Amino acid sequence: MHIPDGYLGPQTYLTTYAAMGPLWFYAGRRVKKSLSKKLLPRLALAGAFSFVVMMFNLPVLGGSTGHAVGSALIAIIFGPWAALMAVSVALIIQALAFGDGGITALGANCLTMAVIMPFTASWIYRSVAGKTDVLGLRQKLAGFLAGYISINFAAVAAGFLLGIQPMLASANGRPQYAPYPLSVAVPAMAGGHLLFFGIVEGLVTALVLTYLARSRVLEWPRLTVAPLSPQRNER
Amino acid sequence: MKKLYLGIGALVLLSPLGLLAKGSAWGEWTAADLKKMVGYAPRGLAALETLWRAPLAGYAFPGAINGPAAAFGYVVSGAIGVALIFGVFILLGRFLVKDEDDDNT
Repeated sequence: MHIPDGYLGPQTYLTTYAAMGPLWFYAGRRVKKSLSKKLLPRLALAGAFSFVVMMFNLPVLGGSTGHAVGSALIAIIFGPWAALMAVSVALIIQALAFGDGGITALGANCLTMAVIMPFTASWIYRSVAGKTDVLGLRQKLAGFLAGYISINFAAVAAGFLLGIQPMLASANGRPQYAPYPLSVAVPAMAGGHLLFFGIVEGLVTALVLTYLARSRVLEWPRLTVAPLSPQRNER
Repeated sequence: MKKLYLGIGALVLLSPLGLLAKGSAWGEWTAADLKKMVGYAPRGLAALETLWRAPLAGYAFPGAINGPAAAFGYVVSGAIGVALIFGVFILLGRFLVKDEDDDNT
């Protein structure tokens, strides 16, 4: 899902950067408010987790590959704004040091994997889990669905950004950037994630949540969620 | 917390499993790949593609993209990436965190 340089034309990459600007700024302020010496290494750990999870390329039918993102899990534990920060840092390092995802496409990649994904995951998780016991079956289901659905939202968004390129910039009928139209790009991006990577993301989310709840190693959900998302203080 | 650090370490060591998957992700082909697929290399794409040359492109040491060298490069890349992320957060902490006496777990 890491769009490389060259796949998005200037209209798209400038727009996505422009959208990310205020989001990064607001997330930074929001995290700063509740950032403590204790939370900091946890966010770093979250960023590192996302980074490493994305290194596990999985094959899918048709010779293509993909991977889980870890964004859903981070959003559930730390709240979506903290996830925005942690996953953005992971994506920036991936682009700069490892050429995974383009520099120009960084805004778009952050929008899909560090904004759309954590916010949908967080919302789905809260809607499904409600106030049930953290070790209950409904929590596991909530974790799975949050991971499964949110990565698909991100994938479809990436497919959309890729798919509009032929409309935005073509010369003599030849697309200048990503060459496939929406009718190809969206199903292609959704397919692998609906059938495969989404299930992996869902399982990773549900399993790690269960582990964290059981071992209390992060003091989740008691401690870490509250300061970052005040609206959830009642838990 | 220590367990979680160890968990990240284990994932880094296991990361070469991610190299077993052949091929590239959808929409992450090179201009040369695309030329084979659709018959031409989109001009804008070819121009932007080389904008940035990452030092460890593809999570590999330059030229070491096959066999054990690739696996080794992948693990080292993973470790470097994790270290860089912690570095970024330590720097962010310097600027952002108000001093407080907090216990460190």
